[in-house]
Amino acid sequence: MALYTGSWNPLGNVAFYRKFELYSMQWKDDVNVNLNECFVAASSFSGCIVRDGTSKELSKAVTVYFDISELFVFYSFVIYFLPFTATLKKERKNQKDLNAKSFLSVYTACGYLISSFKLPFDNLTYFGWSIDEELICVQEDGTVTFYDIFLALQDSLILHEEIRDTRVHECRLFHHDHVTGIAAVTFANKILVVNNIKDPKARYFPVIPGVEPTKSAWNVIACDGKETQIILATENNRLFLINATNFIELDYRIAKPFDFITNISTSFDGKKLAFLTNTGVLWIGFLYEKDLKKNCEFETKSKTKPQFMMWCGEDAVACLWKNILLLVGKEKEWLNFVIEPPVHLVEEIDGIRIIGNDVHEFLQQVPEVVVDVFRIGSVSAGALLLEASKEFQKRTHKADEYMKMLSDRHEVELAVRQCVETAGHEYTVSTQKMLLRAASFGKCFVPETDPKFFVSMCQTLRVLNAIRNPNIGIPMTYNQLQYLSIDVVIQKLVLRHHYFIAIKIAKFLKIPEERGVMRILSNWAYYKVRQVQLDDEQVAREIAEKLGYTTGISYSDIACKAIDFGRTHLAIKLLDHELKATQQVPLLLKLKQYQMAMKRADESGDMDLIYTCIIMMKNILPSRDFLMIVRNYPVAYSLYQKYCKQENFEKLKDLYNQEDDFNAQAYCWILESYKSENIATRQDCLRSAAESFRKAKHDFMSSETDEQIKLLKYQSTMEEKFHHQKFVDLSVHQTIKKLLQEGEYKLAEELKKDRKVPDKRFWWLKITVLAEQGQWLELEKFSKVKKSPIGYEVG
Amino acid sequence: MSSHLSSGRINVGLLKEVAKRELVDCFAKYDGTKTIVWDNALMGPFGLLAEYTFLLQQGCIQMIPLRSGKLPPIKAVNVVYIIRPELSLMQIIADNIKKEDKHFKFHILFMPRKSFLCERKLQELGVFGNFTSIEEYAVELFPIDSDVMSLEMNYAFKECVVNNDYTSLFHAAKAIMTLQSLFGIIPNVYGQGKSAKQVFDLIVRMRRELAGKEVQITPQIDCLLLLDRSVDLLSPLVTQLTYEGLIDELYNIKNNSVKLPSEKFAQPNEDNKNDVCGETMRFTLNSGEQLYSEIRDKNFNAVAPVLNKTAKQLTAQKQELDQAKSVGELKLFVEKLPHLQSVRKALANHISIVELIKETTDTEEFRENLQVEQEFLTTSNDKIHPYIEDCIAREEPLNKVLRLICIQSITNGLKPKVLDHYKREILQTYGFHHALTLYNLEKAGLFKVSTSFTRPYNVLRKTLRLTAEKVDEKNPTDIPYVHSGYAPISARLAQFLVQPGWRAITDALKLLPEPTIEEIQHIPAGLRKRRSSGSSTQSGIVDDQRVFLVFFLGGCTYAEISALRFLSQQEELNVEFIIATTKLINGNSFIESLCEPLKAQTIVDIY
Repeated sequence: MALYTGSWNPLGNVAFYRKFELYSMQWKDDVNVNLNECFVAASSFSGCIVRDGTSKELSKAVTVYFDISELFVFYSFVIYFLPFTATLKKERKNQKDLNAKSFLSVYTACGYLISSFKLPFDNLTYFGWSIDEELICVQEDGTVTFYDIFLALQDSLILHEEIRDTRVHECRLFHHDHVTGIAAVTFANKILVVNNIKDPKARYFPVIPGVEPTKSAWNVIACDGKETQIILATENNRLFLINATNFIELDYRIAKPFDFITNISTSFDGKKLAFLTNTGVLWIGFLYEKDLKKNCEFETKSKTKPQFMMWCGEDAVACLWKNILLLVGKEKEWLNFVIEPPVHLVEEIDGIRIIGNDVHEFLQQVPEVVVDVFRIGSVSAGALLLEASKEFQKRTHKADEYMKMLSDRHEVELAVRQCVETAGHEYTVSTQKMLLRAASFGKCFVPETDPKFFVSMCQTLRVLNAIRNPNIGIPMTYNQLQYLSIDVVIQKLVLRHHYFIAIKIAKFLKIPEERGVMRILSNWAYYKVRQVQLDDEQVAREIAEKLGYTTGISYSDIACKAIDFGRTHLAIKLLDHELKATQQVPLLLKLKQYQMAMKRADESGDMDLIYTCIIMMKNILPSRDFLMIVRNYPVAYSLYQKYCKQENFEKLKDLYNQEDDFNAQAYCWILESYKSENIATRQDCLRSAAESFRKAKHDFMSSETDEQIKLLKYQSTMEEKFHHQKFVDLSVHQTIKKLLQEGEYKLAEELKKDRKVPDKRFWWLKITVLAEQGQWLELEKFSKVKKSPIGYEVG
Repeated sequence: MSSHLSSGRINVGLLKEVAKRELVDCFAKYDGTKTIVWDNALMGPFGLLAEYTFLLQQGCIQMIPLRSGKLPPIKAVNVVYIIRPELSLMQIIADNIKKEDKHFKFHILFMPRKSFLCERKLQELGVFGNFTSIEEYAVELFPIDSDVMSLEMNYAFKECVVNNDYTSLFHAAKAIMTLQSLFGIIPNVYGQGKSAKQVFDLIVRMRRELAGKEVQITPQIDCLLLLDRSVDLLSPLVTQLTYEGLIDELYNIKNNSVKLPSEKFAQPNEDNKNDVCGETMRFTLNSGEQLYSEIRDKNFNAVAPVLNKTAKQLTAQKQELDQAKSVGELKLFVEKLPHLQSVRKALANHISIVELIKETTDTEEFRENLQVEQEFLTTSNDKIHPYIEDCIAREEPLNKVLRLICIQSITNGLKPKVLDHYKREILQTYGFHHALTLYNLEKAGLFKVSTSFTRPYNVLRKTLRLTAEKVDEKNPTDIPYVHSGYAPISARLAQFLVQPGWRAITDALKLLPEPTIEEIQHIPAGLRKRRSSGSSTQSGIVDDQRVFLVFFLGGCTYAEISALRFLSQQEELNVEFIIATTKLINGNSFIESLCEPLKAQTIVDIY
């Protein structure tokens, strides 16, 4: 048993703290890396490390050292290297000199160099990691630049125009609600807060009369769903809590005399606070509404300012002086660790990572369940089960005794659970296996229990072990994973370009495609597209090969990225693979690929898309080019005709003229004729129609049209003759009828002959009209002229 | 309320539910009360999706039809235009908005789809910015009955054949995708005609776009038959002689209801007073009414006997009441009363409708017209037909004349001289402004000049057994009963597809507009239907009965539906037909959709 508790150190009576090695640093043989000579910024949740290295002739290098693992960078290391008060300016000056020739390097948590570059600016004030693992560099003039872990520039912004003149004195990043914010104190003694760097809206916090933030110790209190507050301790012992609109002075009391507060730390959940005075008194307590409540005061007996002060989990505060790491609990209990300096500490939700020149270690409170199972002499359910399992493997009867004890206590299920949980908290694979084996053994005695927890723990551990591998270098704990969710883990892998393992994990855990594989592959494609040096054809081919047609990934989105990077040709190539015409066509139009857009729209059968192409092209292209394209696509061409028919009639006639489609043109003229209110115009239009029909060799219609012109003329004269009678627009038949009704039998007869109206129809007409009007005499006369072709049946 | 939709093998009611759900989602975006401005063409079909009360529940407190000019006083916070994406409507909306001085939140809900053209038009008209939102309500299919669905696109056929505008085909493909998402991928696809091919290609494309993200359902529909209307232009033109078909021919069934002259009917009682408006009375016609579902597909001549029988049954049941002695018997009877009353009412209505129809069918004109139709269908005659000439001379409705000419043209072909004669007669009698109509009919292939001596119709008539000498109208044995002697080509194609398969009629298919489609849509093995086990739990349904979806691209008639329903009932075929169409049509509406009469402007200047 001693094996497992060997690294445990008791803090007080109940809690144990353990420190174990995560990685042996790869940089330990690199002479350029010495944390003493670096500024380091590490991201929490096990991440990369940045150092600011220098050329050899310089005595000091600034190294930023990141732990990219997770969401939260709690503070910047730069700040911690700087003394707080009067000496600051001088120091800053030195730092500037350094920066002028300094390198910025990014390392993984196990010390592999990821990227390195010479700082392009010389007034770096602060750098740290955002929640999305972007490196944020704040310059003295308020310029903020964002880099990814490969130090490719992502974005930049100006904190506030005013800062150009007032300059940033000190700066801190904070995280809440999955976004990152920046708080800055300017030399003008103002506090500026940007709550979200992705949506930068800078606001000044209220100025407290007589308080100079530049000479104060301060920290940001930020947690999910609450407004950001600043806690500030002035040089004359006053303590303020400031929010965006207001400030209050906090009442607090420290028994031991002191001059001012040097350090303020807030815990992960933003509730617990710790202060350190210049006389070495550590005050631990919490903020309850607007009041400070004290847990304890602890005399550290050190008059110097510690290099680090931070919370270790929820229950203890850690301070580091050179080689001494002091851990103080809430009940004044304390514990010392001896550490080989120099180190850098990184606060995590469940502990502290200690990054040194040689090793990377983790300090955490031993989780309760682990204590239960492994504590010497423990008779907890988990401990018994573990024992039983071991005995079982040794094939001794004792196994049965332990199990009997457990089942008597009805604790088999609890025991299984404890073993599984403990396995989750263990970092060594063999220990995990031992515990899971015990759990699996115990499970046999409670067959009806839901195996889900056991199964998911096995899966989770497999993923955790995989990402903890030095090649990946994310030393994440089970608690951290629970807090972050697997999606964030995948995101982290993608950021580090570990696409393959990310996909393996997504498939292994059966994460839905769009959250898993699809997201990873599209990120991979974006990365490919970003590599401007690669050949367009090759990139397009590689992406197509990998993504295929079935993954449901939008090629348009990738093409959009390509456009952003100015790779038009690549975008066009990629769009070739897009299946959704509704996304493809507008982009092709944007890229001025009119032919292709038209082709795709035509294939899609989506009339709206075809119209979109037509209208866009019509407005952009010279009409000749436009027609050249449209004419190749019969559907588009006829839609364009339809559009012209509604919107631009002249254009339609032009179109037919150019196309020598005289038949269609003729019908156009007819249409136009009916649109006119003027009879002369109507006749003109019809004349043009007849002309077109002739050109089209459509004899029937040309002669009919001619007839219609004649009819119109005739009808006009009739209207003159018979006032108040309407003739225009009657058909031949109706005109004859009207004449008959007027008693103009002769005129009717003439018209009939002129128009070659068949006898049969004429007879029908005349007989009907005469009968209707009761003109029996006339009817008799008519009947004698010729034999009726239709008879005289009485209907 | 919509139980008549859910009684078939495929639950068409699902469509309605999906549509309603989507409507709720659309409306949820508009905060507060709503006034709906309706596109008139959508108002009717919309009733098939959502009832008035449903709209009230969604906070629609006012409904007004779309009209140009100023809007009537608006009561709600939001004004929602529910309209088709048509350019001419944009003008009206712009007019509305420009004349409105009060400030409302304006929205457009395009149905079934947003249109780039329309949005641009709104921009041109300078009102685009007035809209708080412009969305689409993507519902393609309207459920008509338990086995019928329609896209309700009136001009689908014309747009395709005359204007080369295939919007309707795109929507048809979308509709099929919707059906596939509800009822599973349809494994076998057959089709005939250009449109069928286009729709199939679109489906293939759309499935590819889905990129394997299709819903995994065991297919409930076994086969899809896509029929381009151009394949069978004849059937819509021939007068329908089924009960439902005749009601439609004479009185136009619109969205499952028909307006009939009210004097024929008994004075309405309280509960259907709303249905009376002036001279006409509105009747709902769907399979929800048992009597109607029994007689709708019968030949008109067979309807009266059924009504007779029903009347007798009613009387018999009434006698039961008289003989009822014990309280228990009485109680049983009273429970049946509401049902009996509704049967009685339905019976009375249908007797009146039959009387009404008989008034027309007994006329000489009607009979003569039928006779000529039969003549064209059964004998060869490519001469000028005197009856058509007479009709023109008597200035009978142009539709009727055009229908007859079209029938003659399709069955016998028209010599150029004959066609020109007809055309001249029409232009002279009905006026030159019908020139464009004639042009459209030519484009649509309805006025066809016969070029060769072979008459495809004659071959088809024999191979597909399109005409029957003797038809027992009361106890039909084959589908020609729907036109008293003529079987719709479309229905025959469906029948041959089921049994013995199209391979048997390859020669006939070659005579029809190309191409022929025979495709298989692959589905995962796990989803394939297991023939023996059967997926249906409903009793009385043979387990391996296959479901065929027949999609008419360009409209279908009630007679065609009746014919397909008749085939569904034939046990040896062992098939159930589901019908989807772009629109329910009859000869008149079919011809009308192709007509483009020009309207002359008032002449202001007379020399």
